[in-house]
Parts: sequence; structure tokens; C-alpha cells
Amino acid sequence: MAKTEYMLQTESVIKQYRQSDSVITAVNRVNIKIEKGEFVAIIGSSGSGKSTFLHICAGLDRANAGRILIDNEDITKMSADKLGRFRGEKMGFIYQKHHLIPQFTALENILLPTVMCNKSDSSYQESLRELVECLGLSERLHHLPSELSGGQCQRVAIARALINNPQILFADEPTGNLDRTNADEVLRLLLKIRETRGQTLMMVTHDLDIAAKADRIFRMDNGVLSLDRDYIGGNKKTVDSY
Amino acid sequence: MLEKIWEYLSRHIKIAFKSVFFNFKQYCCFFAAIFIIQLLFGMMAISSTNNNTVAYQQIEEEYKYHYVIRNLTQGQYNFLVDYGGETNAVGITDKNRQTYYILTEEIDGIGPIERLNVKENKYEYDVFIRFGKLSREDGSMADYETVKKHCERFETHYVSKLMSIEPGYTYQNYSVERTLLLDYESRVAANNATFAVIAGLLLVLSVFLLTSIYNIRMNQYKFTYGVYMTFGADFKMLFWTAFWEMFVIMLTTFIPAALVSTLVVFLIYLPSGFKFAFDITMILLLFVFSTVVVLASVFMPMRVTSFRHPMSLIVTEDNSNLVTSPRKSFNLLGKSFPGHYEMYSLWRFRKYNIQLLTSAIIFCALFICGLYLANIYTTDLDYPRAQYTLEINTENTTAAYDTILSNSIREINEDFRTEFKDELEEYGIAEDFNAITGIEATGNAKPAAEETDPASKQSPTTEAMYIQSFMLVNRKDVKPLSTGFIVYDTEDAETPYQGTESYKVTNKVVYKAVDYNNYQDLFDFLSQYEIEGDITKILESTPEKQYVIVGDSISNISKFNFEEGDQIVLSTFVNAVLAIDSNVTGTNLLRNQIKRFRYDFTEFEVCAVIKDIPSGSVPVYIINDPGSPSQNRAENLAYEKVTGRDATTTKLNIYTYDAKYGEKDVFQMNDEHITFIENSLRQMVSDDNASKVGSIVITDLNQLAENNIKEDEHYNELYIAISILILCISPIIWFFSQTLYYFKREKEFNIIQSMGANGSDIRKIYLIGGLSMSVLSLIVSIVLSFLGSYLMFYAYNVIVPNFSGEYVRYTFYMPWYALAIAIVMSVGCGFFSAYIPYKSYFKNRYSLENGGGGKDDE
Repeated sequence: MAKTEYMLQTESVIKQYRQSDSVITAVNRVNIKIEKGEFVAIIGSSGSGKSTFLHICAGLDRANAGRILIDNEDITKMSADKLGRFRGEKMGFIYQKHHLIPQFTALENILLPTVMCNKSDSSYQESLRELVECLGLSERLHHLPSELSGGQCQRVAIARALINNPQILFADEPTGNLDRTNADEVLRLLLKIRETRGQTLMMVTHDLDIAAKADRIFRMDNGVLSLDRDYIGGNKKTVDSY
Repeated sequence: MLEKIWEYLSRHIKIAFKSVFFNFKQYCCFFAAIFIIQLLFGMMAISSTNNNTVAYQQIEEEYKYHYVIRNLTQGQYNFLVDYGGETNAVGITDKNRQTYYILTEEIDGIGPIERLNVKENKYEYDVFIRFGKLSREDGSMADYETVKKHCERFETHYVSKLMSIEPGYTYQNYSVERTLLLDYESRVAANNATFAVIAGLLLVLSVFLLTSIYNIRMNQYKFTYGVYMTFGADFKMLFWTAFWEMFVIMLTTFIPAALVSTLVVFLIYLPSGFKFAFDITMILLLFVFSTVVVLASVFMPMRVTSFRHPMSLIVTEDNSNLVTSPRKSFNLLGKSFPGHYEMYSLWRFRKYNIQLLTSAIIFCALFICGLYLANIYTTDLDYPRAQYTLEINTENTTAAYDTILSNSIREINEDFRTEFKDELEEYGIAEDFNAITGIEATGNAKPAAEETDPASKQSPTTEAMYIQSFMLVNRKDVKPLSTGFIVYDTEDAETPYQGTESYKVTNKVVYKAVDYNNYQDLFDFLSQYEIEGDITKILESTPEKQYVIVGDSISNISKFNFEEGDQIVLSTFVNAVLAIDSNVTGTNLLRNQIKRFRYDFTEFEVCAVIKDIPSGSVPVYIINDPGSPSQNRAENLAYEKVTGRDATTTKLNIYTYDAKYGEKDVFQMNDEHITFIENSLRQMVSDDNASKVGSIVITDLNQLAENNIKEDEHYNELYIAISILILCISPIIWFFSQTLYYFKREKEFNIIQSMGANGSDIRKIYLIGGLSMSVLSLIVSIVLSFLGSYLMFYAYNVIVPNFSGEYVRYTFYMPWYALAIAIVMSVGCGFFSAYIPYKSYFKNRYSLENGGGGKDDE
């Protein structure tokens, strides 16, 4: 039997916040293993710690304890600089709010990760063409974010997250700020590209319909992650360990 | 390779251009700050070039000769003078067969000095040498580079041979002095060193300023860097991104700054009448300096940012990161709104407010420091300094100043008045003008251990420390918190002084003899200072009732409350009962001396206090009167009794009249006057007194020339210009920081309005915020200004003299007009930096209510 290759593994990840005299545990000893190419959704109520966990997995925030392995590399042991470079090469991130840089056009925002990773002009042309075409942005490339609709901004944000062709994509409620039609369209495009490229996707969402499209669904409750059995079935995979 | 570099540069500079000009409001203060920094550096760099040019032109005008060779024997003198044959000059021919002459006989009225060494009964000579062009008759100056080229040859070929002439002569101790005319490079080096130091300080200041502003910006716009880091930016990338942004700003301001600084320096130097010097390398240096400042100033903010997690940067879109989390919450219930509300907000944002107040107002304090420096420079320039020194070689003569020279020197003033009667009459001072304004006996006795012969004990001044002596002062006469004293405990003393009072002790005292035969010179010298009491009373001293004139300061800091009639006690070392470890120093040494040495004590009454005399140790003037049977005056050698030293004066400082060079309608000494005095002094030595006085060396310290050069270097005006520019930095910080701060608080104001607050409440919030910052600014301005001024005062009065050895007394004062400007600036900025955002807030609201467009929060 072939050995399973994991894109993301976490071991006993803990994140606590100190507030005045009390300590709040946002993420409590979370273990998860995500295979390469897998789509995992995390659901849970507000304040349950799901976004915090996603940020920690993406190296955008630090855990107080535990290990996080991305493609078998422990990011908790990396220096800030190494982690930055690693993030640029292997990960993509989509925020709930698009977080586009207002002074840059859509194209410049999309190309921002290539600049941050010092990629040569020739290295991303193919990826750019593909993304622009797929996301329907070709007419809006030279517009500023303030001249784009919410859905278009989010599509630019998706293109920005994918331009460096990352192995794993983190999405923090990527359609949370959009109406249903726009949300469905953005999600459809995201999943289409992911499928084409075979990328791993870890998504935090409130939307059960979106979560239903995932290979596995987890529920975060008071910092504790558990497999949400209510949604397992049909063509969804089951997990043997997490 | 080049393609890659071009791709990199074009990409990053394009991003930087977009960032800077799209968010111009965010960056406009950087334009102002970098422009001011470039202006400051440009002014200093261009003025440094000008100073070198001005200095050389002035030196050429002021100095008459390249070399002074002193104490030549007759043979050596003849060797130098006769070598040139009939022309009486030594010719040097270079490879182009161009001949330069060394003029030795007479240069602009100053000729060689001949004087008799009475012990050897031989003549000695001082020769003044100038390199002339082509012929002695021409006499014009050879250019500096040519002179430099030939002086080495002159020293090798001629000067080095002097020793072999008359080898048997006992007193063959000629000395070769180069004047600034030849050592111009040392002046340039000094100017360049000054420039380097100031540039270094400016670098630190500039980096501090830009880092402060950058931190303010970072606090408000961390979000962007959070996004950059999300997509792979490490420190290197963040650093270069920030650098290119600043570089774009620097590039934009570079040419205007270079032009304006050139213009300002040109206007400052215009009145001096010298040709304006412009050096393109200084402009290049300005570019390099600006680049270094920009590189250094983004380093720390980016380094700190790179250690943060992207999420912590992204979530601080509002100014929640500026709020200090309270340990204990205030109870808002029952409190007034918006008064207490805003006061609590001020408290919650305390870190931000403190940072803002100090970083903005520190530049107001620096402005005051700059003006203080300008004042110190002017004081320094006007400070009385000796023009000549007279040194009497006691090995060659039996004569001394007090018996022979005193009257002769005073006669020079009369000769001067006669010689320049017409000129002096124009200013109405023909009757009472004194060209020589003061004569000061100097020279300090060596430490006791270094005294090898009686001659070394000849000195009219003696440091108490050198002779293990100290001064007992009534405790009430020592100002509170004065350091460097120990309490005198009779039980601890080997030979206790049994006085009626409680005493403090110091050995930072210098004893100075008042020679009864020559007191008028000293009184003239002292009269330039502020005196309380009657200095002439010291002449009434008798062995039974001794008077002293005392200073009130140690290291230029006033430490005594002396009044006329106070008593002091001076100790004279007798012998040591127990030895003291050589490692013991300072007050411990003094304590041990009191404990282990035997002393005699002499009581003195203070007859006068000199309030502003520059001092390392406190001066105590003691009578030294050989007595006069004809005047029925008994001998009273109090100075010699206390110090054990012979008060004979062998070294003198001679002060000449020195009006402020730039002032009109004031008689000013020129080269002709100084030459007259110098020749008169030399005449005095070589004429009738020669056989009695013997060897006296007169050294021209060129103080007048020095003052003229310094005056034309315009440091005073530069310091003022620099101070004004520094002051301009303060409002930049104020408005930049506060505008962003209030912009971020607009959401808060919208929320409290939705909960019932009306427009008037919001106005009050802005008003209270502005007024509170104004009041705090007032306090911080006064504190920082006084602190800055005192630090400058302390540095120049105490620290600098420790290195330079020259004590100039500066008075501590607060430049009130500058303080007023600083306060108005701080208070005004504190208020208006809140008022203008308030106006903008209501203007935006009004436009919104009338269907105006919104704005992007980011």
C-alpha cells in the first residue's frame, strides 16, 4: 500500500490569548492531516477559533505550542524571514475581505506575490494568462480596486493567491462578503482552478452549502477541532485519524 | 545580467512611485522631512567648501610669513641671510627654472630680531621667512601648492644644516615654526574634521527623524506590510520596498534641496566679499548622504515589522494598536460627556501621546540648542584672548617682568596713540585708547615631585593640588548640591584647624600672586569681569590681616556664595606622617592628605569676588609684597608663604583691543596696528633693555587674524539657519501624526454620534484633545528647552574645557525669544493638529449628507 503524502499536518497546536487576568484558549491541541490535493472545510460558530487556526496553519500567526508541517517542513521552527519566503513559494491566501492594495491596479495586485518572491517576468506569464482568462478579469486588469465590484475584487484576490502556483491554498471565508450569486460564481472559479492545478485547499466558512463541496468537513468548537460527521457521506472521504 | 538589474530596478521603482504618489498624503511629510535634511546637509557641505576657500584667502591676507625660526646664532643667521648673496635671499630654482626667493630681511615692516644673550654675551636672532615670487623686489606671494613643493626642499637643504654651524655654541636651540600660511592644510583638515563631526551628528539626527516619522506611518499603515508578508515578503523584501519608496522621495527633493542650499549659503557668505566657492563633489556627497540616511532610517522599522506576524499587522487597520490596555477601567457612569470621555481617551492613548510629544518637541528643544550654539560661537569669538605671549628665559638673564618690562609695555599704548592719532580721533578715542588692554601673568608651577631646580619654582600661579594644599571654606559659603567638596572633620585631621565655624574642603584651587609692584596690570585684567567688593583692598594686606580676591566657580560652574568679609583658610603642606597609595585620587586623596599630612594654616578675608572669571580651579589671588622701607611698608610675601613658590613672573599674556570685527562705527585693529604693536614689543626687547633683559621670546598668537577668519566662516549664521530648519521639523511630525490619528478615530466618532452624541459633542472632543495637547506641549517644551540649554551650557563650560584645556566662561541663560517661539510652535501645533482634522471631519460629513462621495477606509 502506497504511503499517504500529507500536504499539511498539525500536532497538538495550541494558541492562547492573555486578556487582563484571564487566558483564552483559541486553539486547543488541534491535530489534523490533510492530503495533497485534498479540499478541507472548517466550519464553526463565530469566535470558535477556526480563523485563528487557519492563520496559524498558513504561518500568518504563531502558535504557543505544537508543530505544523507543510509539505513535511516544520514551519514553527522557521525564522520569520525563512517563513516569509516559504509562504510566498508554497502557500496562497485568500482573506474574507479582499485586502487589495488600493494604489495598485488589478494586474499589479495580482502580480504582487511575484514581486515579493523576486520572480522573473517570464516565469509567471503562463499562470497569469490562465488565471485572468479563467477568472474573467481581462477587461478589468488596469482598474484600481476602488473601480471594481466586490466580486471582481475577490476574484483579483484569488488570482493573487494563485499566481505563484502554490501547493496549498488557505481561504478564510472567501465569499463571506459577497452576495449569493457572486459567492457561488467566485467559489466555482476557485474550485475549478484548484482542480485543474491539483492544489490542496483549506477553507474556513460559515456556509454549509460551500462546505458540502469539500472532501472533508471539520467543525471547530471552543478551539477544539472535530470531524463533523453530520456531513460525511456520499462521495466524501472518511478519515482514519486527525 | 544588466537586463535582470534593469528588470529589478524598473519593477521596484515603479511600485515605489505608485505607492508614494498614489498615497501622497501619507508621504507628503517625508518629502518635507527629507527636503529639510538635504537642505541642512547641503548647507553644511557647501559652507564647508567655502570655509576652506575663505580661510585660505584670509590667511593670505593676515599672515605675513611662512616660517619663524627662533634663537638662531650669529653664524646660523648669516648662513640663512647671506646665502642669497646680494639679494639677501635664498633662491630656489625648480625644474622649470622658475626661481622663488625666501625673503628674510623685512616683510611688511617685520624684520629679523636681534637680542643679546647676556650670559654668553652673544647675539641671538629670530628670522621671519616668506617665500616670494621671482624676485625679492616683487615680493608677491607664491601660490600655496608651489610653496608646499619648495618648503620641504628648504627644510632639507637649509634648515637641517643649521645645526652644523657653530656647533660649540652652548645655547644652540633654534626652533622652526610654520605659520598657518604654510600649514593651511591643517586648517583645512580642522574644517573638514568639524564638517565630518557635524555631518555625523546630522546623520544621527536625520535617521532619528525619519525613523520616527516612519514609525508613525507604520503604526497607521501596518496593513499593507501585512499583505506583503502574506505573499512572501521577508525582511530583505520589506526593507528594499521601503527603501525604494524613500529613494523616490529623496530623488524628487534632491535637486530643489541642492539649489536652495546653494542659494542660502551664497546669501550667507555674500557679505564677506569672498568669491563664492561651489564644489560639485559636495552635491554628490549630498546624494550619498541622503541615500545613507534613507537606508538607515527604514532599516529598524522594517526589521521590527519583519518579526511581526502578518495577521497582527493586518488586523490593526484602526488605531487599536495605539491603545494601552487598562489594568483598571475608569467608571464612566456619572461622568460628564464629552469632557471625561476625551480625557480617558488621552490616557488610553498615552503611549502614542508621549511618543508624539517628545518626538515633536525635541526638535523645538534642538532649535533652542542650535541658537545656544550660535550664541556660544559668538561669545567665543568675542572672548578676550591673548594676542602675544612673552616668555623670559631666566637661564639667560637675571631680569623679570615686574622690575623692568611692566612700564615699558605700558609705554607702548602711549606710542600707539601718538602713531595713530588721526585714526583714533575719528572715533573720539585719541586720548584714552589702549591698544594693549590687559597683561596677565601666567605659567603654573609644576607638581612638587617634578621640581628639580629653583628655576622651576618660579611661578606666579600654583595649583593647590600640586603642593598638597587645600582650602577650607565656611559651609554656608558653599552652594547647595555643589560637588567636589568634603566635610572637614577636625577629629580626622592630623593637624586640625580649630576654627569657629563648620567647614568644607576643596583642593580645586589655584593660587595667584598679586605683585605689589605691578598690581595695576592685574587690576586692568580683572576689570573685564564682574567684580563684587573692592579689589584694591588686597593692597592693604598685612601679615596680621590678609585679604584675598576669589572667584566663585570651579570648572566654570558657580559653587560659592562668597561675599566681601567672608573668611577662607588656606593650608600649607609641612610634611607627611604617613604615605598615601599612589592609586588614590580625587576627594579620597584629599581625605587621606588631611588625615596623614601635617599642615600650617593661614586665614584670609575675602575683599572681592570675581563672578564670571573662567576657571578650572577656583582662583584665589594672594598678595606678594616685598615691602618698601621708603613707603613704610613691611614685607608680606603671603603667596610665597602659602605656596612655597617664587612669585617671579616669567611668562605673560598680552591682550590687545579686539572689537567685534563685523561691527561698524567701532575702531578696529588691522594688520598695520598689530604690526606696530609687535614691532614695539620687539623694539622694547632689543633697545635699551637688551643688556638687562636678555632673552625674551615674543610669540604672535595671531588671535586677531584667527578671529577675522572665524568671523568670515559665518558659523554663527549657519547655526541660526540650521536651527530654524530644525524647528520646521516639529510641525511636520505634529500634523502628520495627528492627522492620521484623528482620521482613524473618525469611525469612533461616527459610532458615538449614532448613539446620541451631537455635532457639538464631537467638536468638544476635538477641542479638548487639541487643548490638552497644547497644555502638555507647553510643559514639555519648557522642560526640554531648559534641559537642552543646560546640557549645552554644561558641555561647553565643563566638558569641552577638560579636553581643550582652555576655559571660556559662558553664562547659562535661556534665550527667551527662542523659548517663546518654541512654545508658540508647540502649543499652536498641539491645537491646530487637532483643529484641522476636526474641520476636515465636518467638511466630509457635510459633503456626505449632501450626497457627496465616500472614501476608502484603507
